[in-house]
Amino acid sequence: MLKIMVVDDAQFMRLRVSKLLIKHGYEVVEAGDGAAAVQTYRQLKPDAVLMDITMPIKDGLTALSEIRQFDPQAKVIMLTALGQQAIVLKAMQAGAKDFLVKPFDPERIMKSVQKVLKRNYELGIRN
Amino acid sequence: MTMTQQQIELWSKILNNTEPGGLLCRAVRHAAQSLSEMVNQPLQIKNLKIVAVPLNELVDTIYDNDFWDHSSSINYETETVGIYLLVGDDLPGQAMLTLSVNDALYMVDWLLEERPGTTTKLDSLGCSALSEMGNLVLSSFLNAIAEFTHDPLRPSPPAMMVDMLATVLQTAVTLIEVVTDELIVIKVDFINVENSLLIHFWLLPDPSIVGSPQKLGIGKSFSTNC
Repeated sequence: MLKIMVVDDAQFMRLRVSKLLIKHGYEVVEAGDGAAAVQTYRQLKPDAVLMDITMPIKDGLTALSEIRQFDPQAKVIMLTALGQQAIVLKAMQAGAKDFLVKPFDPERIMKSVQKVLKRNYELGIRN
Repeated sequence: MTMTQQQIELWSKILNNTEPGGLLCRAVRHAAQSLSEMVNQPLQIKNLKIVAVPLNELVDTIYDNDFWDHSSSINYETETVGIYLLVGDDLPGQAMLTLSVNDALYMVDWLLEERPGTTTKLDSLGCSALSEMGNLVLSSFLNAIAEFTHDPLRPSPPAMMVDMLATVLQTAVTLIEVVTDELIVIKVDFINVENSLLIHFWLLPDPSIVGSPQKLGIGKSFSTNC
């Protein structure tokens, strides 16, 4: 079963996104801030990550950079309320595979996850 | 231009572009639309006000300025949920959402996709949902402003409190560094007419950066509908 890490400081968002992913057959692990996300990624190496930006302790952009340093192939999708050009650019330059702007849209989230994981799968076949 | 000059200029542009097509109204509409999509309910924007308030008389002055004309049931002692956020970067200040506890419970039901009346007290999940609502509203507001500045504008993670309205408002003021006698208060109401649900969205430019209301060309009171 493919494992996805959901990173958001809001328990409410973690619950909603996790429910959606479990419904679609994924295994879910959660982290409540950027520091916990980096640590959990190192331990469990999930297949993809859905991560917020505005979080305490360590924000999502910093966590994204650290995860990508540890694993340059990491598939990280940013899921944030901050839909600003400068922030999108920063995230994509840091290696984010997609950028979704809240409010929560189940269809967009699932399309993005499937796209990122499909890419993963295709790369695996080519390698 | 120094960082402080940039910050003053941006607040000045926002506060002096208050016509329906202006920057402030565009950002307020963007915030309301995001919240409406989040709860899947229609929301109206009413009663946008900008007021210069003596710092030590915030609650009284707001009453004098008829801030509550769409919600006659609200008084100083109304049990209220306040969601606080800070903004840095080019737009230093505070933001706050306030709503009565009864409206907050209703809102939690919408956010959790429960039948209205299901939530009877605010547990950790309900508080998290309301905090996320605060994050979304302010972030959407900032997204619209950032289209104009092209520089990132980020909020802090939200903090929440439940207390009497007067205490919730006063708490926002105690977080402000006292450097001027007056504070600029921007407030707008988001209303769901069908359910008489009312959310107040507040913005308080940081007076230690922007200085007095007069410096930004703000008079005593201004009111409009976006």
